[in-house]
Amino acid sequence: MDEAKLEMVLSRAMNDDAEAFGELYQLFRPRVFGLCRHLLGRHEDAEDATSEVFARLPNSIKRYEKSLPFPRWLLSVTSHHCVDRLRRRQLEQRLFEAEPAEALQLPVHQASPLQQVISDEGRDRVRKAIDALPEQYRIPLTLRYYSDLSYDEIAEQLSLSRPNVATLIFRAKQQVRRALAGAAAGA
Amino acid sequence: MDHFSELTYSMYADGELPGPERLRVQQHLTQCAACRAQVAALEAENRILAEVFRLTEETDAARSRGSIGRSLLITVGSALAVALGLDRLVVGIERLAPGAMSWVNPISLPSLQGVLFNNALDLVREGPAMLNALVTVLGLLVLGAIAAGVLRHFINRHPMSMAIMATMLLALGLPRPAAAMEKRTGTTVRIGSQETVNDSLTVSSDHLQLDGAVNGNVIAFAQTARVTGTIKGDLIVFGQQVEVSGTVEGNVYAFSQTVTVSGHVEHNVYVWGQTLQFDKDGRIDGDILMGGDTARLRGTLGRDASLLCGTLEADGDIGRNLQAYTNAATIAGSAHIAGNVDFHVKRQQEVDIEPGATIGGKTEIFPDWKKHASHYKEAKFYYWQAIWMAGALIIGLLLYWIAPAFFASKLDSGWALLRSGGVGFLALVAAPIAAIIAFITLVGIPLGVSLLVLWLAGLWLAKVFVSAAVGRGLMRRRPGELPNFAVPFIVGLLIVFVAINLPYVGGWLSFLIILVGLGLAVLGVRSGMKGRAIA
Repeated sequence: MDEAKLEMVLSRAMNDDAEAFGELYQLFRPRVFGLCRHLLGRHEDAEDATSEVFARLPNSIKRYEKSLPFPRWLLSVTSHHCVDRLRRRQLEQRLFEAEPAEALQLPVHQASPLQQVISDEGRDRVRKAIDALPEQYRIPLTLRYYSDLSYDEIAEQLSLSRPNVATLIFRAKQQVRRALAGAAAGA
Repeated sequence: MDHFSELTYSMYADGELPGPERLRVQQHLTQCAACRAQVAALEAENRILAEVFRLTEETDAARSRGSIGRSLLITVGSALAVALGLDRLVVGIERLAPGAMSWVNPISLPSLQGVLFNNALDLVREGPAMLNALVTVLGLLVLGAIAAGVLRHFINRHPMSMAIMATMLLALGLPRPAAAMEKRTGTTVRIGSQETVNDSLTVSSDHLQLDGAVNGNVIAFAQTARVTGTIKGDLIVFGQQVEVSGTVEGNVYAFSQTVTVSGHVEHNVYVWGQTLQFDKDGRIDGDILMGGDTARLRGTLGRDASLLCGTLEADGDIGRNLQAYTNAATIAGSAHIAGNVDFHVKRQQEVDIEPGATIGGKTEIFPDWKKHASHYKEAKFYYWQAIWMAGALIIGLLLYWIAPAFFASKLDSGWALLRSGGVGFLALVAAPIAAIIAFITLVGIPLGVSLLVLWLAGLWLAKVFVSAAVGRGLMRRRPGELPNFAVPFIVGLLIVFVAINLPYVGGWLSFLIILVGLGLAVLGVRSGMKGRAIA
C-alpha cells in the first residue's frame, strides 16, 4: 500500500470509521502477529495479544503522532503491550535483571560469526535458535531486528539501562551462534 | 594497537556507539584487517537476523491462514470420529441388551442415512418443511463439533492426552468390536462354502463369490458380487451387479447398477443404483431405501419402503408403509401392504393399483409433485412482499440508528460467511434450549421469555442483517467517501428478496440467510461488547 493510501485509511480511522480499522487489520496483522509471536513465544498468546492490540487501536490511535511512520508506531505499541503482558506473567524479575554491564570484556575474535554457520544451516535453523533463546535475550533481539528499535528505545521500553541492552543483544547473538555451531557439530 | 572488544564491535555494527568511541573504532579499523573482517561479518550477521525475522513474519502469516483450514478439518474430522465413537458405544450396549438402544442412537449410520434420504425426498417437494429433520442432523454434527472443540482445547493444554484420545477414538471407531480386518484381492475372490472368515473382510476384485461365512462386515469393490453364504455384519458393495441369495444379518449398502435380493437381509437395504430387484423368495426384515431407476418389490419386506425412482412395481408383502416419488407405479393384485401408500407422481393415471391388492392403511396419491402452483402470477404476492420490504427497510434503518453494533460484522470472505453461518446455527439451536432450561428453573421464566422473544426477533431480523452486509459488501466504499448505510442496505434487501423467493431453492436460501444473519448479529454484538470492555 502506498503512503497516500495509508494516510487516507489512517485519517478515516482517526475519525472512528470502523471499516478503516478493518483495513488496518488486514494490512498490519501479519507484522503485529509476528512481533507478538517472537516476544511472547506461544502461538496462542500471540494470537490473543494481536487481537488485543487491534481491539485497542480505536483508542490508542488517538495518541499516534504523525512524525513517526505508522508501522513503526504500531510495532512499538505492540511491543509495549507484549512486554506488559510478560510482566503480568510475573516473569519480570527473571526477565531483565542480573545482567551486570561490567562483565563484558570478552576476548576478541571469539565466536565464529553467524554468517558462516548460516550458509550451512539455513534460515530455519536460525529461527529455531532464536525461538529457543531465553526471554531476556529473545525480547531485546526481537525489538532490535524485528521492530528496528534503537538501543535507547529498547532501554526505555524494558526499563533497562542502555549498556544493559547492548549486553543482552550481544549475548543473544552469541547464544544463537553457539546454538547453531552446536547443532552443526552435533549433526 | 589494542583491539576493541567484540561487544564494542557489535554495538558499532548496530550503529549504536556514541560519537567519540565510534571515531576511535573507525580509526582502528583502517589499520587492522582482522577487525575489519570481524565488523564486516557482524554487519552481515545483522542483515541475516533482520531477514530471518522478516521471513518469520511471512511464514507465520501463511501458517495462520493455513491453520483455519486445518482447524476446520480437525473439527470436522473429530466431529465424525466422536459421532462414530458414540455409534460404536451404542453398538456395544446393543450387544449386551439387543434392541434396547436402537431409539437412543440417532447417529447410527442407518438412521442418519434414513434422515438424509428422507430429506432428499422431501427436498423435491418442499424444502422448508424438512428443516426439523435437517436441524436434527446438523445439531448432532454441531454437538460433535463442540465436543471436538473442547477436546482440542484440552489437547492444546495437555499434548500428551492427544495420543490417549486418538487411541480411544480409534478403538471406538473401528468397525464392530473384536473384528479385525482381512483383505483379499485378485481377479476372482471366492470364499468357499466350507470356509469361515472370522474377521471383517474387504475385497477388491473383479468378481466376488461368497459361499461361506463371514463373521464381520464385508466391504467389496467388485464388478459382480454374489453372496450365497452368510454375512454376520453389514454388506457394503460398490460394484456393477450385486446378488444376495444368502443371508446378511446386518444391513446391505449397495452402490451398484443392479441389486438383486433373493435371500434374507435381517436389517435394512440401501440402494443407490439403477435397478433394485427384490425377488419373490427374498426377505428383508427392515426398511428399503432406494434412489434409482427401477424398483421391483416382489419379496417380503418387514417395514417401510421409501423410494425415489422412475418405475415402481410392487408385487409382494410390505410390513408397513410404501412411500415413493416416481414417474410410474404399479401395485399388483397379489400385493399386501400393511400400512399407508403415498405416491408422488406426475399424473394420477401413472398409478395403477390392480384390483385384489390389499392396502391396510390409507392410499394417497399426490399428482404434480414436480410442479409448484405459481404464486408469482398473483398480485397479492407482490403486495405482501412490498410491505415486507418496506417494513424491513424502516426497521433496519431504525436499528442501525439505535444499535449499529448489529451491523458491525462483515461478509467479506467465504470464511466470514462460514463463521457467521456456524455461529448463527449455534444461536438458532442454543437459544431455545437455554430458554427451556430457564423455564425449568421457574425463577428464570422472565429470562426465558425475553430470550425467546429475542430469538424470534432475531429470526425475523436475520434477513435485515444479511441485507445490510450483502449491500455493503457489493457497494464497498472507496476510502475517503462518506459513510452511507441506506443505499447499500436497500440494494441488499432487493437481493435478499429475490433470493428467498427463488423457486425451489428459495426456502433453503431463506434458512441459510437466517443462519448467517443470526451469526452476523451475534458476532457484531460480541465484538462491540468486547471493544467496550477493553476501552
